[in-house]
Amino acid sequence: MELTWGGIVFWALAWGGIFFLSGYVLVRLLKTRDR
Amino acid sequence: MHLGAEPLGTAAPKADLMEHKRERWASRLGLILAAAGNAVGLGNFLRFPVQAVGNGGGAFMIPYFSALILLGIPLMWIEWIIGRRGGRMGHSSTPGMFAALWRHPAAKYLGALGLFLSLTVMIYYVYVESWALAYSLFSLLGYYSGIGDLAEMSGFLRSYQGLNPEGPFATVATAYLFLLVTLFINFAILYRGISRGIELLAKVAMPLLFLFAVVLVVRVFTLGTPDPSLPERSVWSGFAFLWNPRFEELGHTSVWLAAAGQVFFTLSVGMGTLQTYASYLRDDQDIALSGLSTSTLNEFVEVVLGASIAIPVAVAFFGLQATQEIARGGTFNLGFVTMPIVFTLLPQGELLGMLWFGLLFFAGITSSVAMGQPLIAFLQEECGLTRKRAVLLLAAVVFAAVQWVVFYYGYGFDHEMDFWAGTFGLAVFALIETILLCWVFGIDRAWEELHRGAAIRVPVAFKWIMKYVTPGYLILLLAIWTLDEALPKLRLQGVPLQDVPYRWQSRGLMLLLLAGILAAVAWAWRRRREA
Repeated sequence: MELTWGGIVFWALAWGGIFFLSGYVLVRLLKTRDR
Repeated sequence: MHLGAEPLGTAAPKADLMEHKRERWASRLGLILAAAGNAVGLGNFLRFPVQAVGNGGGAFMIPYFSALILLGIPLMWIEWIIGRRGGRMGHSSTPGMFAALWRHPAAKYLGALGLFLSLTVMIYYVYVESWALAYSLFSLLGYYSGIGDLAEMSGFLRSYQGLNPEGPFATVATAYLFLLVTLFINFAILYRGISRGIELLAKVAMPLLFLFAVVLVVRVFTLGTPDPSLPERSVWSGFAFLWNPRFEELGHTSVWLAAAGQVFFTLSVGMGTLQTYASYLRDDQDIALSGLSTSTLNEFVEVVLGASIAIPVAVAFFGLQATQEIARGGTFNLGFVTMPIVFTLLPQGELLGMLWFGLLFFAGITSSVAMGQPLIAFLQEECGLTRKRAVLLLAAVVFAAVQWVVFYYGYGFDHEMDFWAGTFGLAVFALIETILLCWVFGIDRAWEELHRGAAIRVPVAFKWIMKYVTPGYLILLLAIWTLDEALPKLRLQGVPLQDVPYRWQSRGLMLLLLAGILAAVAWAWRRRREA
C-alpha cells in the first residue's frame, strides 16, 4: 500500500495540530510558571 | 439553573479540614505529569492504532478530533472544576464532591459510582499491567527469543496466562508472582501519598516513558523494508494503512462511536480519578491551562508516538492482511504477540523489547495508582481511616477480587468488567457529572470556577459546548451504545455457552462491589451526621 496525498495531508494535519497545541501550552506554561 | 446547590465557597466541612491536613502537589509540573500519567495508559499504544486502522484510517481523525473538542477537553475541564472545588470543601472523592455540588441525599450515591468505576477498572487493569512488567524482564533475558511465528508466540502468551499447559509455563504461577509484585508497587506508591508517592512516580515514569517511546519511534522510522524481497512490507505501507483516509467509512455511526469511545478511554475521563487529582490543588491554582496541558500531552503520546510504533512495525514484518487479522484478534495481540516476534528479529531486540514493555508498564502504573487514589481518599476523609489502614483495606479488596480475573482469564470474566465499568459506565458517569455541574450547579458559576486563578482564558464557545453539546453528545452516545451494544451484551448474545457462568460471576462481583461502596457511603454520611 502506497501512502497517498490524502494520507500525507491527514498525517500532517493530525501531527501539525498536536505540535501546534503542544507548543501553545508549553509557551503558556513557561510564561505562567510562577503561578 | 441552581437547584439548591450551596453558595460558592461556603459549607466546607470545617471539622474535616481540621482533622486532615490536606495533601498538596509539590509542583505544577508534577501535577501535570501525574494527570497526564493518569490519562496516558495502555490504550494510547495499543488501542488507538487498532481503532484508527479499523475505522477509516486518516479519516478517523475527523470524528476523533470532533469528539476530543466537543467531549474530551470539556469533560477534562468539568472534572478539574469539580475536583478543585471538592478539595476546597474538604472532599477528594466524588461522593463528597457531588454532595457539595447538589444538596440532595441522592448526590453522594451518584458520586459513589466514581469510586465503583475506578475500583472495578483497577482490578483487571493491574493484571494486564503486570504482564508488561513480566514481558519487559522476559525481553531483557531473551526468554522468548527462539519463537518465530505468531501461533507460537500466541501460545507463549496463553501459557503465561495459564491457558496452555503445554507451553513454557506449566501453570499461572509466574503471572501470579508478577501480579503480586505489581500490586505491591502500586500500593507502596499509594501509601507514600500524593507528593512523595504519585507525584514522584510521575516525575520518574513519564520522562522515561517518553524517552522509551521516542527511541522506539526513531527505530521504526529507520526500519524501512526489513525484507527487500517483499517490498510491499515496509513501515511506509504501515503508515499508509494508518493514515490514508477512507471517507466512505465516515457514513457509519459505528466510526463516530468508536472515536468518541477512544477519546473517553484515552483521557481517562468519566472515572472519578482526575477529580481526585484536582482536589489537591489550592483554590487559586490554575486548572484551565493544566487541564488543557494534560489533554495535549496525552494526545501527543497517542497520535504522534503511539500511532507510530505497533501498526507500522506489524505491517513491515507481517504484511497488511496479517496485521488486520491481528488487530481484529484484540488489542493485546498486537502488543504481546506481534511486537515480541519483531524484537526477536531485530538487532538489540532484547533492549527494544524491554523499552516497549517498560513503557507499557509505566503507562499502566501511572494510571492504576490514579484509580486507587479516589478510594484511599474516600476511606481517609469520609470514613476516618488512617492512610495505612485505607491502603491495606483497598489492597485486600483488590487482591481478593483479582483472583477471579487471574483464574477465570479466558472465560470473558474481565470482558464483562471492561464493558460495564470500563466503557459504558464511564459515559454514564460523565453524563451525570456534566449535568450536575453545568445544569444543577450552573454553567455561569462553573465558568467562574474554571477561570479562578486561570493562566489562560478559555474561548467562550466552550461555555455553551459544556452546557449543551457535551451532554447532548453523551446522551446520543449512550442511546446508541445501549441499543447496539449494551442490550445484546446484557443478554449475553454471542457469548460461548461455557463462558456464561463466568460472565454471571463477573456481574455478581461488580454488584457486590457496588453494594459495598454504596453501604460505605451511607455509613460515612451517617457517621458524619452523628458526629
